[in-house]
Amino acid sequence: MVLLLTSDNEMFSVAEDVIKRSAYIKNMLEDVGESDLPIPLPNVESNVLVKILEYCEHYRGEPLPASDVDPAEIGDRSLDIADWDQKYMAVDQEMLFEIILAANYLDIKSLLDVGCKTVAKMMKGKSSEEIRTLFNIANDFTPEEEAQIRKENAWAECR
Amino acid sequence: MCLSFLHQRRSRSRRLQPKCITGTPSEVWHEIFVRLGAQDVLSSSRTCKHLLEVALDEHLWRRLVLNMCQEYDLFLPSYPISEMSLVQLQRAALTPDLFTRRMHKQGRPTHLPLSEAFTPVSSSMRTIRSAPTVQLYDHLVPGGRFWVTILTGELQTEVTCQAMLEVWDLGPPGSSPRQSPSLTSKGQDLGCVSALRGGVTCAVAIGRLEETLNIAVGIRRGDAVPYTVSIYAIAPGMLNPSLEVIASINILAAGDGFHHLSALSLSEGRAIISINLSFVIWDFSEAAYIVLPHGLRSIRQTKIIENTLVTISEEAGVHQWHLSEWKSVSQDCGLRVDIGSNFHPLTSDRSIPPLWDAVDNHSLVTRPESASLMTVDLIRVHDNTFFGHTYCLTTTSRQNSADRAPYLQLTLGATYPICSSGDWHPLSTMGNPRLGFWMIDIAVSRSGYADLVRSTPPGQDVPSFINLLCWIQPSKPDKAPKQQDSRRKEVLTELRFALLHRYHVTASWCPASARFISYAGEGRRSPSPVVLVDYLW
Repeated sequence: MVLLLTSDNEMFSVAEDVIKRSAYIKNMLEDVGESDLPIPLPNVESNVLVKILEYCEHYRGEPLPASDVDPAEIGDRSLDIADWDQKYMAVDQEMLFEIILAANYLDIKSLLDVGCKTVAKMMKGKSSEEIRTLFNIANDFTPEEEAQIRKENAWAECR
Repeated sequence: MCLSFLHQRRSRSRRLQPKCITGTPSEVWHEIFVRLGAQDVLSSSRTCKHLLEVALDEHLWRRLVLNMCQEYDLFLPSYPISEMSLVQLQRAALTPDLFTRRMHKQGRPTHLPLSEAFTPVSSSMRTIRSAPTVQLYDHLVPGGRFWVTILTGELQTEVTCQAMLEVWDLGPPGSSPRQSPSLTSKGQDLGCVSALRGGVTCAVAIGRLEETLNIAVGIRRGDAVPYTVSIYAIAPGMLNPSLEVIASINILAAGDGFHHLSALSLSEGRAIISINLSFVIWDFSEAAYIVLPHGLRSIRQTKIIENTLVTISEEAGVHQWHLSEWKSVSQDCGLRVDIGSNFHPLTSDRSIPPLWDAVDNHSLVTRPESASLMTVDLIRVHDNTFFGHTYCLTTTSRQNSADRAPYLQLTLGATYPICSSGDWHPLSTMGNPRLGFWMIDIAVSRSGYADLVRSTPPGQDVPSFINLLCWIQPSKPDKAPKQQDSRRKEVLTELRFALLHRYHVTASWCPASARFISYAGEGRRSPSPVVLVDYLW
């Protein structure tokens, strides 16, 4: 078992073959070896870690992806997401980004891929204004800056 | 791009952004962006400063160009991405979107007359070869930079001509300053070939090494002489490339020695030669072949998927053959195909009957597309009205895991009216992978001529046909009351088109790079200068 300590000081005890889906922890266990000391995860809160562990538990036993392969680079450019992953990702936007951040920090490539695909799917085909609404983004460009961007991108307008 | 304000001291407004923007590092947004299309990335970059900063990254746009090449099956060396500037990369990645939008904006429904108000889409043209030559073959390699051509200076006699194979570098699309077209290497003299139809047949495909092109050339030098098929290879993006022959076979038919080659294609590193109602499938890297007598007359498309050959023929529908028992090509006498009195067609392993009815008064065209394995369009006349029907051949999930062959399904995808309005009618069509466009050569009636000819410069010949770029899009819903039965899934689509040229004929084209090759003149096989047409840049 591996002990994990979240940023809000909660201790989790996790089976090694579950948490090894995280390349970050897998490498750490290989470097440090057996230890009774908990691994601190100062970037992950307990509610997010619960969610991450749900993912790792689900894929427990499945072969780990080769560490140097980037899913976005090996031809799979469709935004198709497996059914279970879709249900798993059906969370509010804040949690969705928390999962992506944690997957990035813990280096769980397949989860990062699913997270990025989920966000990409939400953004696909949307205009700038629709994307602002989607993520509640404030337009921080001044009118002059907007004019400059428009000028620079004039070639990309439909002629 | 020099958006100077990004380098200024960060403004307070950043803190107003939601956590998904401020709390998500650039590298994560980068990962999201590479999964989007170029247009989506551009839209995202205009939302706020943080996303603009993420989007102004050459690494990101290189990935987006590579994604585009993969999506549209473009030849990678067409885009020298390590030397391209950010704007060049952006232009390249956005070209399919922009070209599509541009054409759709100019698109007309088919019932409008071809009047003078209907102007050709503007473009910039450069002459590749001003001296008139007869092009025996023409292929703009997907990506728009390299052009494979077989030409003949002049016909030596009625029956033979001297043919030359050349590969040209037209410069990467969208580069500035524009590179002038040049030969990539010395051409290959193909010798004296029969000047009749079928004298030279050619096919080009991207080689197993992604930077090489394989060019299959089939040559008929006369009656009772073996048909020769040679494979040439070139890596045109490299320094000092050379065009080399890598393999060659002779095909001999038994009996009267007449060779009728109806099609030549390259698929999965094999040449598919359709000769005397048989397929010769030639694995040129392994020097092995299979002869498959099929007996089908009007084959429209063939493709190899893993170890299965799939063909669509007009009269017999879809056939699927498992490829096994390869024979090796003997070194000395070449490959001999016995097709004489003992010709017995082999039954295919699996077949799907055609969904179209008797082959009469229509033309079948192939339009390979991404979603389907192959698409065939059928133009049919009914009560003086033309209708287009798109049939899609798709692979479905394998029903039986023990059977390793793909399971195919042929369905009617869409039906669209082609209102020829008395001005014109479709003659023949030319497909192109992936972007959903295809080309129709049309014949123009007298009234249509009058409209088209009005602006003809004096002394110039009247075009006998013109090129239209066509596509199918959903038609606007009628104001007619809604049908009660909303479960009917019939998709209402219509054919729309844009006029490309009046005095040019499109020879080959790559919509994903908005680049076309056309002949300034009347027909495909009469001597004419060759022109490079860029629709965007």
